[in-house]
Amino acid sequence: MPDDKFADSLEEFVSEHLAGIENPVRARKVIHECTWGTNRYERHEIALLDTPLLQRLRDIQQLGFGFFTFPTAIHSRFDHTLGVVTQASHFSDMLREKYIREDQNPIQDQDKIHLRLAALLHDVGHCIFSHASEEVYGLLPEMQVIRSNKPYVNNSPHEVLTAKILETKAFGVSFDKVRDNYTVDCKIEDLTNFILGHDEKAFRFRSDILNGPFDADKLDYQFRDARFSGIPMTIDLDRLWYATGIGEVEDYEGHKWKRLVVDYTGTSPLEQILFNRIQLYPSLYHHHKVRAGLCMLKGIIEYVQKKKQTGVYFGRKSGVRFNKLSDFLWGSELDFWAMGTRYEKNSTMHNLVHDLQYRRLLKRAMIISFKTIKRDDGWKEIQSKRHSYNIDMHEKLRKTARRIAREARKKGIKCYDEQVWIDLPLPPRVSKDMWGAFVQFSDESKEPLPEVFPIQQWLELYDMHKWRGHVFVPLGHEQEFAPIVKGILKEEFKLNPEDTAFTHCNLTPPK
Amino acid sequence: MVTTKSLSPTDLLAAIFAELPDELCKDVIPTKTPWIHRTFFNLKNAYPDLLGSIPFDETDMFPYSPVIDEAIANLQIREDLQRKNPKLTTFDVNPETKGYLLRTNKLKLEQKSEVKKISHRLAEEIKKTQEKVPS
Repeated sequence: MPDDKFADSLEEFVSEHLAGIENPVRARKVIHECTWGTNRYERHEIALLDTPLLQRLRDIQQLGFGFFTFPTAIHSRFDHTLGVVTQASHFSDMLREKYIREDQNPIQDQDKIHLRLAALLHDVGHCIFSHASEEVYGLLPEMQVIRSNKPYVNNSPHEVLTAKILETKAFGVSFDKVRDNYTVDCKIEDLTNFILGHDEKAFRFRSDILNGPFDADKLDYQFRDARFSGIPMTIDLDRLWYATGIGEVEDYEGHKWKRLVVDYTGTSPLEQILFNRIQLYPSLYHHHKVRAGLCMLKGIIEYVQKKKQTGVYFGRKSGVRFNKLSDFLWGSELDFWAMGTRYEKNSTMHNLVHDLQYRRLLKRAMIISFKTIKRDDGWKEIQSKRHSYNIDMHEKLRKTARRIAREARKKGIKCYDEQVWIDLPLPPRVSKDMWGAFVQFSDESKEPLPEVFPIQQWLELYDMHKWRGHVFVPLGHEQEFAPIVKGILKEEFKLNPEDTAFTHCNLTPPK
Repeated sequence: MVTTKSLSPTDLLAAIFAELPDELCKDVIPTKTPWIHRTFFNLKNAYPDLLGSIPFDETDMFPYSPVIDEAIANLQIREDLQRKNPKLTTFDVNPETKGYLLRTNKLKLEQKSEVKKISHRLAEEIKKTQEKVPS
């Protein structure tokens, strides 16, 4: 059973990565970091923070290959994790202060402890280069099976992996030690629910703090990613704290839910969060250099999966084929770069890894966008392939890319299949978040944010006009590739590019 | 069980919207995310052969499918669905999208017949929203 194999390999990983958790932590600790300042951590939090399970996040880039374009964007998942703990803490304190005054107190002491712990653990499922490797392991059969199960349908692969790590026996045993040693009363199930964004209707506001429309995770990554990449962005946090509360809203079946709500005066910071999220995509997450790096990573992994029968050394594991979820967890980014040095100079593996490491990035041979492609049947055909973690669509695009590579080789261009990519990145999914963000008026009535201001339409227009897909090819051959790309995409998808599909990436349009 | 392996969810939804009667293709299809997802969730339960593989998250205030979300976004960038100015609260089906079912070779005959049934049911759901909102 593949499920059993996955469970066993995950148990092994978690067991090794929680080594030392029993070492006593004698005092609380203060950690300084440049985004949110000085913050205090409890002894049980330090016990977890000091395990390899959390420490491995230091060697996972928060922004994948963002540093290729924004050199200072080298912050890690570990930094982000600390930031999310701080923000979850602020959320809890703010709500507790607000409702203590009103003698209600929906956030108990225990809730704050749980939320901080969930924040601390929320990204332990991330693997090398964060969302970059997620695009690969999200397609693995193991992940497809897990995500087809109801509780995980709307969770991204790294969230699922985090939940699965927390559900292991090894984690349970270690967590029991933490509970006993530091007298912490906490159920792992509650942590998992907060991370996945699930909770009972009457307490849904608690998971909203960590996985909701304007949660601690989003607040931290927007501030942090913008700050470290140097892209100016603003959120009026003071106003958001002031305006956020807990309110009762009704769903279409008449069920009552307690959710985080924002007073009408606080809608501006809410809109800022959504605008920022959308704007970070074209400028940072979907920047063509960032996507080129990501495609090169996918190429290296694809090469190992398809052509390295004996696998590779990755971390302390040998024979890794990247065809199992646990393969992605074992190694760090240092281990990934080391893969290049283990192979002979000029071998395919050496070349693929070193090209990425030393920023000899793939180049654009065509831009696919609303403005560069004639909007006829070909445009429709290529857009129908834009689905995340859909193996059929992925395979179709890879087959076409491999054909482009073959055709190029026939014309004497040296290239590997793994160096040609048709990249159609997905825009951010914000519609569900927007409809889960409730605005409260003076008479205490509540409406979802899009009913107050049609922000969804603006964001969709932004996506239509700013979205760009690309065909990436090896550096130095982009002009030679352009006619091949044009011909094959015309034949396979009936795609009709305008001249701008080439001129906008500094190429001469092929005839 | 009719297989939809090679068919993109975007193409499937395009075929369903393209079969709506003309009077429902202009100025009446709601754009509200909860309505769209709830409607397709109900359609999935009624027509599992064609829509059964579309996953829905049922843990929140309305059933939500990331696949439907992506398909609706794709249909808009493809201009099959167009938001109606100035309110932008309804979709029009692009007249050029009409007849998609006849033109496409991605669906088998029995699938095309199922699409027509789904579209008919979708039309009924759209009509219900018109009854609720006074003109």
